Amino acid sequence: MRASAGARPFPSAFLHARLVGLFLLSTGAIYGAYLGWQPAQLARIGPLAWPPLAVGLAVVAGAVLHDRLSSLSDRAGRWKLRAAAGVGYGGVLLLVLLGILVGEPKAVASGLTLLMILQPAFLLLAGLGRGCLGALVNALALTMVGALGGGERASAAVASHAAFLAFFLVADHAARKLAEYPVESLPAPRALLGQAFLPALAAAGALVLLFAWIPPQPYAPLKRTGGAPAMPPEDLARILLELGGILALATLGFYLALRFGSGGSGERGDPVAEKVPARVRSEPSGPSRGPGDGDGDSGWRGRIVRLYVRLLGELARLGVRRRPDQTPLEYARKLAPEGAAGELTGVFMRARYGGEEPGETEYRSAQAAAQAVLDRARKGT
Amino acid sequence: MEPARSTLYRSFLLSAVPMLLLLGAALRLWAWAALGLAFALLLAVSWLSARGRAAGIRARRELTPSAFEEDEVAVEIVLEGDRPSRMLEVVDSFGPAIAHEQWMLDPGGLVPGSRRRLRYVSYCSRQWGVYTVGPLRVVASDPAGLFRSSRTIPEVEDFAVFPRVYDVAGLGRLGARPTFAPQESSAGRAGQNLVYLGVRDYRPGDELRRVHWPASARRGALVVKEHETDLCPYATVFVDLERRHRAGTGKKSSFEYVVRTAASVVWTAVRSGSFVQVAGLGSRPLHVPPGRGEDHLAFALYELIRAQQDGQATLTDVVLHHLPSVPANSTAVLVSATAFLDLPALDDLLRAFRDRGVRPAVVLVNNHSFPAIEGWPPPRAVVVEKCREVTFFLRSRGVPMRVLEESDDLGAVLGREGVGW
Repeated sequence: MRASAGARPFPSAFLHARLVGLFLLSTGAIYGAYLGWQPAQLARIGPLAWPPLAVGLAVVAGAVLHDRLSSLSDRAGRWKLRAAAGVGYGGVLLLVLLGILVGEPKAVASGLTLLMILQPAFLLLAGLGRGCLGALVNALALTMVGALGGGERASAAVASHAAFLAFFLVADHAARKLAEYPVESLPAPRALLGQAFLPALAAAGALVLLFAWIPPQPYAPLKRTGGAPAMPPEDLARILLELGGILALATLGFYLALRFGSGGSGERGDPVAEKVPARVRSEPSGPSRGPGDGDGDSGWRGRIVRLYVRLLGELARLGVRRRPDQTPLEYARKLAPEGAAGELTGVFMRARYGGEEPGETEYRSAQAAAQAVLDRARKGT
Repeated sequence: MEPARSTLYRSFLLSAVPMLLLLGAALRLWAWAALGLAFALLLAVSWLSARGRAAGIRARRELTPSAFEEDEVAVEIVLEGDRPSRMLEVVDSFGPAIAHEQWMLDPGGLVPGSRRRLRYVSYCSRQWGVYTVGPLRVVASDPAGLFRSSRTIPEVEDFAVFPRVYDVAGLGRLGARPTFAPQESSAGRAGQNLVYLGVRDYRPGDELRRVHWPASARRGALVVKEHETDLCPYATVFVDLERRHRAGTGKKSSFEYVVRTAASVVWTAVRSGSFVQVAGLGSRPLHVPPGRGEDHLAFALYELIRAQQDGQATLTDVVLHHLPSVPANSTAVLVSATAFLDLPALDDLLRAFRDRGVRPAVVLVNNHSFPAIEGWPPPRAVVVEKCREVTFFLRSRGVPMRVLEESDDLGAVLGREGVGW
């Protein structure tokens, strides 16, 4: 559908729900790990307070920094970075797994602390990776390690993880779709997010029933070495209640901060600029490099392409998104003023696809045209 | 965020399930195995939920059947369904655009018995011709977006992209027939128009209501008012579709120039209110009967874009064949794909036109200015000399003419006043 300048609604509610899902998943995983291995720590204010604070800040900062981080390096650089991070993280997991296999509680506790610290880091650096995969994998690892102790603590950690993950997946899917398509009117968030609560409750309920029927046992080698500290049932119930309350309050605070804080910074993480290469299967294939990638981006050519990609990001925030199936010329017809948009697109296309190296004059004219287009779009909003 | 159609999280869950189940079984950790089962259940429910979501959805397309090159085209998709569904993606193939796949999202709920309208605007970025639009595809997914199902709806239709047309300057001043129907153009001779021409003496048979009483009183004899006559412009466009005159390829070809020129002439004539007919002879005859108005313009352009330059007959033969259908006092525009015309035959034609009061105009596309695609082109000097000769021949007979070369900008040359017309 065609977007007119500044007239499209932005799916803020869905993006907020997605971030809330991520917050719940991460905080719940850290609390689950504490509960499994260091329940005594939860009597202190520090271990109780840092997970929601650190995770909340990391989620918001990660969303804000997403665009900048994803445009820091080219595609090859990002792949190298992801591969290196994957190998390093795999090493950490291997060490934790080895500690578990030999039943060494100290190794497990050290690995767990490392995984807890890594969770906000993954959220913060989400722009360098793909989606929130790093945070999801790490949260799963935290939950798995937290569940080693068995008993009600493992049940709570596993059930909450499944529920939060289901909620996140539904909210994330709605947010991704609505952010990608410039729709005329947004659906009621309640109806769509209701679909997120249902599978979450179903997953949690099914697991709680399952664990009531077959209670999870602690990992035998750790049990022998006394790795998982035992806890009286009444203390456990109190701690679970407290954690539930804190998590609910923290989530509410996080949501309100997203909703009313600085115009909802959550949506700034919408990386529409990532979608610049059109995903149109039948379009004639151009050069293998995408805009902003590769070594050929040095010089004026690269500057012009980056300028254009940056402008796309800015315009997307103002509601004038470029559809994935739109060519630059098609997109330019939506922009105003026509002359400036046409000039900018012409310079971009010559720089991106042309054989001749553009010069400073072209860059300056593209810069002026981009400014004119941006000014008009801002006035339009 | 990941793109909407990413399968990253599905891959994550599909990898996690066997790992959790295997580790849970190997280490006898029921909690891990249960988490794996929960993930597997989530995947299974999502798969079942996505399956068949697109079934029972009906869609149809509403769009105009034609547009000009570089025009924007608004397309509406009307969705109906037998059961409620949300977040449906609809994919349409719009052949005239280079980026021909159009993805839309229906964010709201589709309720049985109601209709949802989706709209996209595409751009005819491909060259003129007949393209297909469709089929439509409806893509639905489960609420978590882990699985998708799609259904293809065979809603395919032809879409004509007409060549970009230019106003041909000076065409409106050429031939026209008198008519009793009110027209925008008129001639300064006595007729039925409302434009006042003057007075003349009364002649028996003149209507009394035409008597100019004040003038009659002044003169002492009856005088009647005279009005101008209405003119109905009428143009016949002859298109050269002779195979021998093919040259060049793609946008730079003699056929391309011939079709664009003919389309521009038809466009200009119809826009000025003319009756227009088109004739040509390829392997399939090109014949557009006389008509006027927007619908006729669309029909004429549609026939033009379906024509092929694969005929055997010369342009003069085509004109001779259709001469009886060229009305007196009308305009005949000859669009030739070569400057190498048979001048004696052309001279006979011009004489025949003159006898019937037909005003001819000639556009010559110099096929030898394009890269030759068969045979050897004559030397450049010969071509230049022939162009001069035919130009002199036509101008000396008062025939408006233009020669189009490969390097010419059609819009500029056809729109230029005072060159030959």
